[in-house]
Amino acid sequence: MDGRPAGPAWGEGATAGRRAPAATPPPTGAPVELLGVSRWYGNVVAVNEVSFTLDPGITGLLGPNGAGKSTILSMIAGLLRPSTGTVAIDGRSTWRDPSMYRWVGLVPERENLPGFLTGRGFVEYNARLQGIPDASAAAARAIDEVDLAPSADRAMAGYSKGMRQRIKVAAALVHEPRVLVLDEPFNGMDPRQRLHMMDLLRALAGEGRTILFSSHILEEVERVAERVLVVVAGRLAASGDFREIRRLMTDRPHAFRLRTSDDRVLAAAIVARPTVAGVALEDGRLVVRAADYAAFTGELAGIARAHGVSIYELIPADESLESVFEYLVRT
Amino acid sequence: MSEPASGGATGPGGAIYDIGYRGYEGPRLRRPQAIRTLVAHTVRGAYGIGRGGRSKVVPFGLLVLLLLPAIVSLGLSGLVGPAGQRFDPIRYESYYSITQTILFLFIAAQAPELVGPDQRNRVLPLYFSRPILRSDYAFAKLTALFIALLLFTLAPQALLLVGRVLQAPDITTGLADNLPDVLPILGSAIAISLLFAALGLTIAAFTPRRAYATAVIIGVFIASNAIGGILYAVLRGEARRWVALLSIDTILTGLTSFLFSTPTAEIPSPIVKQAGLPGAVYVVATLVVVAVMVGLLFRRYHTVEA
Amino acid sequence: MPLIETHELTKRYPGVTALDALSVAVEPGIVGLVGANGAGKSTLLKILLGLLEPTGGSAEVLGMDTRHEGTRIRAAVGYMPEHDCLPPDLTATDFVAHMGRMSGLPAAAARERTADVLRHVGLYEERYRQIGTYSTGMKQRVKLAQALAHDPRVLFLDEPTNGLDPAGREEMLELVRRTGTEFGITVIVSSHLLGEIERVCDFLVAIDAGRLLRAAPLASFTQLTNVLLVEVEEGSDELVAALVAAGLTAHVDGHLVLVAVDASGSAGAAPYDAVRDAVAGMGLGLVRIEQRRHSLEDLFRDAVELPAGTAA
Repeated sequence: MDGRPAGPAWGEGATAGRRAPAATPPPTGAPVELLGVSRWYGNVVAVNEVSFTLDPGITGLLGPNGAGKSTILSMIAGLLRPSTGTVAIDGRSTWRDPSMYRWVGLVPERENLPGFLTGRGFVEYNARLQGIPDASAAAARAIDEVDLAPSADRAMAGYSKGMRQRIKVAAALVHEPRVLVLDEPFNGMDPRQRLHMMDLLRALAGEGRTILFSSHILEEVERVAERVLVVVAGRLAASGDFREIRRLMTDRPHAFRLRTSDDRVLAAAIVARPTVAGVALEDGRLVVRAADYAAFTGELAGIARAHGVSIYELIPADESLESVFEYLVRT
Repeated sequence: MSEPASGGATGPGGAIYDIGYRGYEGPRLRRPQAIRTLVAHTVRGAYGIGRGGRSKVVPFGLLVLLLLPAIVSLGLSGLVGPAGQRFDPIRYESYYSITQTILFLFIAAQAPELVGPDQRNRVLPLYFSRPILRSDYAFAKLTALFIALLLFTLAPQALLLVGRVLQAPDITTGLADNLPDVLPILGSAIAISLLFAALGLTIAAFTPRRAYATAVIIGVFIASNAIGGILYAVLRGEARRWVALLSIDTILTGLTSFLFSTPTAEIPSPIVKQAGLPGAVYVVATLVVVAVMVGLLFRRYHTVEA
Repeated sequence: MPLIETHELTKRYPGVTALDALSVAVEPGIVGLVGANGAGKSTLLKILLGLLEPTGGSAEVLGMDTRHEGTRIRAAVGYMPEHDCLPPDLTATDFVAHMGRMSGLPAAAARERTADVLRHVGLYEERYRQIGTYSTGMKQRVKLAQALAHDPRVLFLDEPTNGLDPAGREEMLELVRRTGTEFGITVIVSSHLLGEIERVCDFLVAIDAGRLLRAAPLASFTQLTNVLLVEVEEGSDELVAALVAAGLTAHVDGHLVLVAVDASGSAGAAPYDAVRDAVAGMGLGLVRIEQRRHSLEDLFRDAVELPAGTAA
């Protein structure tokens, strides 16, 4: 191929150890809790009775444009008041409590970075706004976390898109918040910048923070979020691991694509089972629609063995986040 | 595939027709036709045709204002009656002096409309990725504004002409009286349209923001007239006659008077009367201004980013 | 004959080199163009379209030199820019027909093809309303329609799914696929969303800092690795133990079990049957058996360029 060993990268879970170790142990993430939260503007209901709990780790907030994601993020950051319900971090309401701003770091979608400031200047300014005693040290730490130390003293007008996003993250991290909230952080980034940002988020989550980011690009969310929250037209349509969510969608048959040593024999054997809603032979593959997910997956290997059929490939065909999302958005 | 098969099929009792994507094997026209298309499209845009009601308000509103003096004049002369003395409150050659404000309001309002949106909405890349040259685009826009303005300037004159012929004691007399004016009418309309179009379009091409473009166009006209007038009043000797050419109003009035062979005493502009420059000078001045502006226009579209 | 070919194509601005001696040949098909922001993708497209003059080198589209036959090239090429580029006060029908005529179609043909093309991209009654009233998805469709109206041989699409929500993206990608396969038009798609490129394109050109990183069929980027992914509902650890006992190399990784299996298939069905039998024997729920593939992301994961010998 291209000179790289085609072998597995066994240690793939490890993050690149490029960041400087933090001077003080990072704060542990605090659970974020929304309870019956609604937010309306006149007759327009942006958020409609949303309740969820965020634990430490990375959660993705998904939804079509206009679904209410930015509103939810603003309420968590304490910038908007819920019309009803409570938004609390570790039990304390986020609204009208200036000390709460220390707990949350918000990376907004909009870019209003003054071009004449250096990155370091911007982060230090934020540190001082937060009332941090040693602003320059805190800023230096934050800048190291996002790996921008070499460019920190250049004017931000010369920053690339990826660098601008990262400096916003540094500004949001400078006060060591327990909760980090990002609005469309991958917008407009190219593949390499995106990988860097994903690594950064994973590293931050690895330190124990609670991270929530919004996106409408599913492949990004699939890569980095451990859990998802799906909002549709202001309502929370689903939450949790998206594979779990898929399994809960029992009113849809689960589709699997198989490549085996003898598709027809296997097809004949499994179509006899009540766990199977239908089989089809398509494009050299065997496509199975399972009516009962748990039962089907439990008996598939046994049936194949009994009939002497080898399974080279078994892929859940509609388990992608894309497919789950499509279903949730339509109902 | 989500669409049903669109390949055709025929059976004894029925048929399915293929409405899938078709290639195009027909003739493909070249640059001249593309330029013509853009000219027609732009002229329609100048009058708001095909663009919704709001864009028709200004051009047609101004057109009505422009026609008013002609209508009033025809009405008055009609009142006096065919047996009475010829009563022409308005003459062809003085029409422009009376109405030049309206003329350059049209330019100030519409020139930006013709070239601003393409720049503001970033449609230029779509044009330049078509089989035309950048200069073709500039040429087409200029031609279109020229035509639009020509229609505008000729309309009242045509109305006056037809009205007077009809009001004459008989057609033959009417024609004999008014026909000699046709050539000067055409000539001055063409010259004025060319000058205003070149000036207005070039300015608008450099300032795609509509409010700025209109303001700059108006500003340039006013400034040129003011500077010409002031310098003329202040200077002495030979220079002052030529300095008067800085004023667009002077150039146009001089040109119109030259084309209509207006006797010096009746020239509407005091400066032109006094300066006493030969008529040909005004023709040359017009051409020079047009050439400079067109050069700038083409340069603009050669360098603007697509 | 390659549809598009560049030879040492270079574009320099004061202080920035946008393209640096780029040489690449593109065959008919659906081609993905990927690279970092500012890597030179848009510059390359603009030079191929004749919107920009290169500072060095040359490029040919459909066998014609971009410097000398720009007009003829543009008659056979369609372009869908990334940015907003539509006038708000025209209807889709009027605008696309106008653009069709600007591309050389006679008036009647322009009208008919506009009607057809708008149907193909999925615009129905909306086409008689002013473009200013359209949603982002509809505007993207109009942009695609004006690029298709004159039946080009090559289509340049710059970030066609920009601003679309997931459903809109799906539809646009499907359109792109149909254009490339059914309509028989070569499509060059520039995008930074690798997942979409992987789904739609069969050839890939990757550019970095104005230079060619790699140009090869997509399959060569997504080749199989020697890792078999197995997913079971529960009992991953027990499964690993059973496989190891059967002589395989395996370990747990998150919710997956990774098994070493030679992608060339030299071991035959044996390892797959071992997995099947172990799962069946323990009555585990079997969800996935999948040979892991390399992905386009691997190209960008490396902070340095691939070794010189890999540029195709």
